[in-house]
Amino acid sequence: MLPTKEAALNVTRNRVNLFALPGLVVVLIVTQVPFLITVLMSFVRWNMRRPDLPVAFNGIDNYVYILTDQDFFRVLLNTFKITVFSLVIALVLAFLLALAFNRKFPGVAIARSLLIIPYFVMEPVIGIVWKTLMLSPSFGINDVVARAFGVAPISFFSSDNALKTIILLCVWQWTPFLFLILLSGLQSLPEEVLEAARVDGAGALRQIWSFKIPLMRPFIEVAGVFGLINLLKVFGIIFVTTQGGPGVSSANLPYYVYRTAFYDWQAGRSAAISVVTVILTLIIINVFFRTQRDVRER
Amino acid sequence: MSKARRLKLAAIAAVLTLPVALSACQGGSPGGDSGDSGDSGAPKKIVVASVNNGPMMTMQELAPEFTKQTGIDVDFVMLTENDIRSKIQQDVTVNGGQFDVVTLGTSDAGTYLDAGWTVPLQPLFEKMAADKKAAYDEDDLIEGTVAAFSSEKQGMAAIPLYGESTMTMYRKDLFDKAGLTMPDEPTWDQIYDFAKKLNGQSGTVGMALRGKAGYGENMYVFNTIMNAYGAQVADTDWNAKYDSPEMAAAWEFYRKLQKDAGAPEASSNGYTETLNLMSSGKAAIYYDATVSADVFEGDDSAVKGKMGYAMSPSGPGKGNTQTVGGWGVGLTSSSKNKDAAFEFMTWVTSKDYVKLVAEKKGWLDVLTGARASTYQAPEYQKVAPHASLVLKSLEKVDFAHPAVNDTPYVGNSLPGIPEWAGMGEQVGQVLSEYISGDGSTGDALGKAQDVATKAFVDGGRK
Repeated sequence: MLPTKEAALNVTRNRVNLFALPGLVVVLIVTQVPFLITVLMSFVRWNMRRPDLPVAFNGIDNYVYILTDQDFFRVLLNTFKITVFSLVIALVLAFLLALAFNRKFPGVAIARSLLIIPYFVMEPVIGIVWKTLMLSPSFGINDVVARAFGVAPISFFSSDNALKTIILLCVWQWTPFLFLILLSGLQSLPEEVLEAARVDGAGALRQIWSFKIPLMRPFIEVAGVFGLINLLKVFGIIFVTTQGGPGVSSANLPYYVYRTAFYDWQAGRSAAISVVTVILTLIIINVFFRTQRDVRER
Repeated sequence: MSKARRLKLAAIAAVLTLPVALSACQGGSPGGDSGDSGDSGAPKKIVVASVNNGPMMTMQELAPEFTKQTGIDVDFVMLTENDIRSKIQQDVTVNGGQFDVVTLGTSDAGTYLDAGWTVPLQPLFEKMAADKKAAYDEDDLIEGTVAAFSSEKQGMAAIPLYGESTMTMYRKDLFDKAGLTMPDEPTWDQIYDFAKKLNGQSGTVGMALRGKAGYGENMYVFNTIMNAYGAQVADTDWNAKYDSPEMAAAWEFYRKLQKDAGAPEASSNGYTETLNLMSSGKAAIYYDATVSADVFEGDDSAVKGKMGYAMSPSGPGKGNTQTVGGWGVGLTSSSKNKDAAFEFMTWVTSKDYVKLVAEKKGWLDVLTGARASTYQAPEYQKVAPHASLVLKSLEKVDFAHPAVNDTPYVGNSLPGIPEWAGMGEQVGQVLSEYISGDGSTGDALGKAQDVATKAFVDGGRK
């Protein structure tokens, strides 16, 4: 009798699974078809400014072009720096802020609300405000402060500083979001464990290092994953403030894809950079997850 | 359930889902309803994509007058120079049909028409009713400006909305205070000396000059310096010429000027930023489009009445370095409302529109450089002390021979070739990084040479 029951259950399961099919089809069409088209386009020579030239298959020429292009490797390194430095700085800041705001004091709710405002501001607005009102050496607060001290204003968007400035803005934008995740983590820690640690004489630093950080690991991991995914695809801030320049000194891969497509008008080359970007992103995220798993297992 | 039945059910589900997915993928188009309205008898609507500078903002502001006269609604998509060029290009390349009328610069107008993205305008003028044609007075359009907005093969590609040249604009009061005199036709070396002397005096920078990368941003201004130094983008066989000694001299001069007397962080200053520097009284000398003078003489300007004007500076190579530029309006091939769009184009470039702007906004806001009659108007001459100089600049421009030696392209500062958008953008980035840092001229020019050579090969020139 048992096998018959199982068989009946399987049939029911199969029927139920069929209802997932429409959703699966939509997901495939929306996500995989554009990617497949991008892969196909990466083997095509198409200069959008020249409709008189044929759109033709050109083998791996686009890949050869980008892999022998010095700018591509500079952009790749920039992407790595923007992602890693922003993520580490934002995570540390967010954790410190979460510790500071995980207590009751008058006005704590207002203070927390003020702290998360940057996360809700649109990227173009962040770019315009920081570029013109804050950091501009001619019109911004940068100029006012420099004049007050009788020194030359700092050139935040020069080729030496543009990348650091982009990292600064990314940290400013993403710290509040990571702060929210880590604060919720701190608030959910078992009070009795911390109480026991206090009774046993653990100081504040010991409590953080030996109890709070280990207990918070799942939350830190979630914050890290969200931060990583979002920082890998920063676009608006770069577009509005530096347009990847001077040169390509502050360009990252998403912006470079855009620039190759809509300023250089090389559709095939842009598609090839997109494909390489997707592959690298998958590798980075995979390494990130694997490292976390190894740490957990240890 | 049998396997066949399951497959059938799955196929039905997929077919039912497909339209939903496809409709989700289909983007809305602001011009979407313009296609139908023409046939249905409903009010017509056209979409104009335009750069968001002063004259165009005025155009947007006054468009309801056109709607009142004709019943044709006009929607605008307004963006900054770099962005609008890219946005328009994205749409016309794939025949997107979002826009009916687009604003085009001199380097784009001819190539857009030759590529089939816009339609030739001469046949549309020929179809105009006699009375409308007489009132429009096509002969009043300045010949040099029309040539800059034309294709060599197919004639007028865009109607000039306004034409502009480049000239030197400077603070007379600061020059007087420092005991300096600007010649009527200065050289770049003189400009450098003046700018360096005035840099830091009275809280101003010596020179407000574009440095922000873009084929129509830093390259618009820099290429006139390049021409003045006797350099050129390519020789008549399409060999890139960024490796010439003249080009090296031009790049070095431009960096020296920006570093010694330019605004801090000059590499992030485009047209808008340098204009703001000058109009807010934070710069002593400004070299850019003549149309900026109308802003400096306006009531909102901190430098009204303090400005002096001189011709474009000349260099060691060539005296005649001013350019003819500006914006014109073109009619896209994908427009489904061509008649309505052409009606708007002739309205906004008409003599009546000049009068309308003068009446509503004042004579300083009228479009200049397109119609000779504007310069003859006593009201305009009264408020624009620079009017005669602008006309002189436009008349002296040699659009077909920008450099000392022969070139395979036309166009004074922006070569009128389709490759220029991509190539100019990349060279602009190299130049912007060059002035921002301390890298060697040889390395920077090597990169620029490489970019230009690849662009000419990609473009099938070589």
